[in-house]
Amino acid sequence: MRVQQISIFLENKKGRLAKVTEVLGENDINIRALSIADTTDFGILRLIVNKPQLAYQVLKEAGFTVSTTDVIAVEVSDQQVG
Amino acid sequence: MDDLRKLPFTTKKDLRDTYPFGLFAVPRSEIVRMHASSGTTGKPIVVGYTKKDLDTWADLVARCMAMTGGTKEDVVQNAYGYGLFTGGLGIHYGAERLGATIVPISGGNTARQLMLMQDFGTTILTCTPSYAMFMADEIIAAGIKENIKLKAGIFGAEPWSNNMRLQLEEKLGIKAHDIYGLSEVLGPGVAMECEHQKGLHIFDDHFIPEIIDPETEQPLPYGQKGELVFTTLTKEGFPVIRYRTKDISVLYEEKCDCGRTHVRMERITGRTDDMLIIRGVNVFPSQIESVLLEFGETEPHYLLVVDRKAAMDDLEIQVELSSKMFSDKIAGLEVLERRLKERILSVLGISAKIKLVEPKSIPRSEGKAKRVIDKREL
Repeated sequence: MRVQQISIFLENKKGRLAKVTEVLGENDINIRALSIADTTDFGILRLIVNKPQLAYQVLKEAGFTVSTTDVIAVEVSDQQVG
Repeated sequence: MDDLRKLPFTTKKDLRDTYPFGLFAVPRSEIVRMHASSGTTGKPIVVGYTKKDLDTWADLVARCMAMTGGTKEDVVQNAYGYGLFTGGLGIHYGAERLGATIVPISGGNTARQLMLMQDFGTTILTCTPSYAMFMADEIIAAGIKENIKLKAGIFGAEPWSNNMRLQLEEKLGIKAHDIYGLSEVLGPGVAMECEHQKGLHIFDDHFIPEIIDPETEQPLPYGQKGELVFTTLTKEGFPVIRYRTKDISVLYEEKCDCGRTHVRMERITGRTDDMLIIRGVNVFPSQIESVLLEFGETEPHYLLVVDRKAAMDDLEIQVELSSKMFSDKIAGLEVLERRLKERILSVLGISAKIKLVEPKSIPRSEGKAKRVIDKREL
């Protein structure tokens, strides 16, 4: 399945991740998957959410640097040799 | 003298607008050397010297060295950079004029500096005060202070405090003298501290100093703080009339304890513009802006953080990362940091740490971003 992944630039500072989830929570957006690629000073937060267009828009409005990328999502069941 | 005040000022803009040779007062063929300093917008300010100008300059720098007690018996290690910057060659020919032995080592390569300092028995060190402090700390760390024969230091090209002077004098066992100059007027050797260290003697047989109120542009009396303005009396290639240095100082006319009667200026305490001097290099925030514009930013937000760690100036440039520059791959952002660093090195001539920060994270005051935080205690 093709889905839109949201990438957000975050400084490696206290409270930044919380701010992202707060904005998403206020807009009733549900996070399906999350990963962070980081360096000492900054990181890129990658999210799969239920409403990617809205997430992009509200994060942008909240002042974050955001982009979207098309990715392929594969659901894997949580069991041995799943 | 009052008639001088009827003449208009010369500003850096005038020099920039006439790039490269527009303000040379003699045919180009009479110019035997050029120097250049960084301008605010990429193009440097170019100055030209005739044979006689170089002669005057060497005389004045020799005079500066004599004020530190220098003679032909001295070994002068010149760790100012050689090249378009006036520091290196300016000091070089002055030392030769004095008859001292010049070691034209230029800046950097500290291990080699310390080796030659010991082996050649260097007695006078010339460089920026921050590099002198770096070398002093290295000398102490290496436990070689016993082998060092330095007696005087001639330090300039960047602002420094009296506290830093005391530290340098103690660490190196020398007398540390402040030298002042700017390429638009001459280069090093416009003014110099004598052994009494009560302000810098301006060589007013060659330059007329004035202090003005930078706002009203009206001349201020002796003893009042304002912007330094110079008129050259003997320059041929690149004379200036009432050149506004943007350096803040105070002039004193009382005779110095050393007996010299020159007008003296207080050590430079600030600037009327946003120019920073980092490791002896002039840096304008607008230069960073021009680099970011090249990278596709339409309204760049950035902050220069200058600090002095281990006696060396450290420049960090925080850049707000906009969508235009954003890559969702770490490698992409690291490439961006590296490209910014390289570009800034080539524009400014000094290296800086680049720190990408989130949009709106750089504080804005009255809608306008603050561009510089200088944490150095000068």
